[in-house]
Amino acid sequence: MRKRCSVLITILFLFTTVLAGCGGSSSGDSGGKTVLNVALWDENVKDTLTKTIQLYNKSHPDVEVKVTYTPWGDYWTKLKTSLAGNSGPDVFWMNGPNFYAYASNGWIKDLQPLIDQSKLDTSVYTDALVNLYSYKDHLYGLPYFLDAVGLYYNKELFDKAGIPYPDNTWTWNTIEENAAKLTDKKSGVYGYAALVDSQSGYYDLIHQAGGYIISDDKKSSGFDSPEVLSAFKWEQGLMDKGLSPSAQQQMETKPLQLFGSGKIAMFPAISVSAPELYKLLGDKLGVAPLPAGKKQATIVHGLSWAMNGKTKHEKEAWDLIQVLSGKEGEQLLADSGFSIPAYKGTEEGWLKSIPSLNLQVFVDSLKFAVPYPVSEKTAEWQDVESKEIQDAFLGKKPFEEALKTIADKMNKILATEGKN
Amino acid sequence: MNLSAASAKHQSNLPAQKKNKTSKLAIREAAWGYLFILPVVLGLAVFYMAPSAASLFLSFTTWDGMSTPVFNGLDNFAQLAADEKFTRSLLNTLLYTVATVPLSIAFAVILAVLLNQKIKGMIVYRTLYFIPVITMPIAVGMVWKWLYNSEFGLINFVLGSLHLPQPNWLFDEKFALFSIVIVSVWTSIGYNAVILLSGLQGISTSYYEAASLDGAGTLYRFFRITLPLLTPSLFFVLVMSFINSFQVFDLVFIMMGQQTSLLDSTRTVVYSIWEDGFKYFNMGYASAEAFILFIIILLITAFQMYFQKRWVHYQ
Repeated sequence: MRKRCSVLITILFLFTTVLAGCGGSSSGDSGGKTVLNVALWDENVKDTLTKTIQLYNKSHPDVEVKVTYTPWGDYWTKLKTSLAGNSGPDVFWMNGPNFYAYASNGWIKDLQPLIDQSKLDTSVYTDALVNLYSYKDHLYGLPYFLDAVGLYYNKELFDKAGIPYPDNTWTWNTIEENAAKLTDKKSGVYGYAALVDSQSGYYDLIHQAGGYIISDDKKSSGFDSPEVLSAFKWEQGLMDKGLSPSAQQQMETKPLQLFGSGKIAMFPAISVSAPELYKLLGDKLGVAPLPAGKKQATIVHGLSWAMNGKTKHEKEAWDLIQVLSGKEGEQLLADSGFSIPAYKGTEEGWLKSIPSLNLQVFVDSLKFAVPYPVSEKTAEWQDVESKEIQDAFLGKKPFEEALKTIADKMNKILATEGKN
Repeated sequence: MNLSAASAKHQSNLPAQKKNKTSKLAIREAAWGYLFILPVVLGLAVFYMAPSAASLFLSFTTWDGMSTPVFNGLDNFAQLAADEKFTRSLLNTLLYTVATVPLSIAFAVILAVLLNQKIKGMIVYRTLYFIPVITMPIAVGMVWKWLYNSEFGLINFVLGSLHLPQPNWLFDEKFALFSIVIVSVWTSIGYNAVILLSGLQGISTSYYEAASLDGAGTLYRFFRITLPLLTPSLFFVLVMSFINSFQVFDLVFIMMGQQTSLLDSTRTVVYSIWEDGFKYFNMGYASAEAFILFIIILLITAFQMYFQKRWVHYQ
């Protein structure tokens, strides 16, 4: 009898552990404390965040903030599924390509009423980001940091070729002339990287050529214009002349890797890459504004803090967001050298984070910043876009045809937006 | 094993008891049996059956993963029939399977025969060949991606120093799928070989002794004794290989990344399911794809089961 009992108990025990594993609660209260869940993907900001949360806890000792870092690859899937299950983090990182879908479906909270209530001045944030995170003129995310695109260069290669470093007078023509002098086929060095990538590559060039990617009213694509074509023709020309790694080479070995190992002399990239590139190249690294085409332009993207549309702790979450994106929080972020804070006037710490690099270039280029192009179904049309662009770069079809296809498909996708 | 032996003993100790009492005992034993398998059954029900049923239901709906699914009848399947991307991914998967399965099994048979000898340090060899199986696909993919690099990879370095052509293994559409097949064969040989090895060791030596007495040579013995008696293991390996191969995803995902243009020649069905489900959040559509894949695998497996009597010899 005793034996039987113990077997039964063992089995029951097994069940309860299984069941206990099933019912994990996401947001709730533990020991009388309110728990706020925060989610983001980049562990490089961990120290900054810990300090900022300490700051928040000074005024909110009764709130426990739990931070979860999910790698970029899983972040959006995990976020979306957890929000679908009516749980999910209370406060989390939002980026441009996903913003419209989240705002228009009400998965993130309209912050405007809260902003009005607390009389928060949003003009302290970089305009491009306030634009990016506004939906129907309401702010849905409080800007945290931004990244602009600049032209990184390898000083050693310039010195060897006896060419002065790039500056704000450079244009597409100067790039092409000097790329030819910097290219050294024997040692496998390319003068410039004409990127197949969008944010640091053709998005900037399109705007520099006077074109655009999506119209301001988000209703039509700008891809089928002669300006856009001229941007791609220029990139293609550089590849054909062997002044830039070909598209195939870029898909195989990341241009950042090539630049980091001294195989590319000039490389357009976002400001967030500065610490990584500095680690690879040290004092050989220099940075200049992007060269001008018909005009100057740089794509600005950045992240904001958004709030779960169904959070149970709206007040606490809102206070936390205000601290994270507040002046002190932004200063902490800047000091860590992670990226340019979105709060105007707090850049000081960031500018000093790599003394040998003139990071002021990025802050200055905000004057001609263009917000990263987004709409509700960004992911869908960007997929069409990147496939067609890659096809064209790989020589499977001419750019004229690819751009026409992108514009057609993108217009069709845009026409279905705003209907759910 | 032990349990049934014990219960048999138990029963034989009670010959004098009445019939209905024994049946009561049987019921009680059955109850215990069910209780013991309950955790497994529950696990299967919760983590396999229920999701499968849900997926089947979802394949008749439009669902973005968040809102309520909307029933749309056979729309998903009609769309799939006209979807070039899906047809292409089916074709890719088929090509991949047709190349991987025979190669992997052929090499595994050779390897198993070699590993079945009695030489010193055999256990080391067996372990070595099994290592790719237990290595994470991510690690395998990353390392091979680097080996394949057309400019800096080891393979092309060797080819170059031998003055042979240096193809762009992964980023040339002509070679990409084939390059992935090579990696899959490399990773699956170890597993298949271990199964086949156990099959080989189950073959009684008396057959070989008799054949030797009759003057049969090595090759003759291999084709007339080893291979026929290995068919049960081969059958198992074949069925499993087909299933695994139709579900290939990780290697493609890791080695090709999300280079959308080049994916045309390497996108497999499961990749397509993942893309539609977790990139575009068309869960209904992805479920329909999954359902079609399920039917295909079911048919192929049923076909193999049916035809096994033609070539599988049980001792």
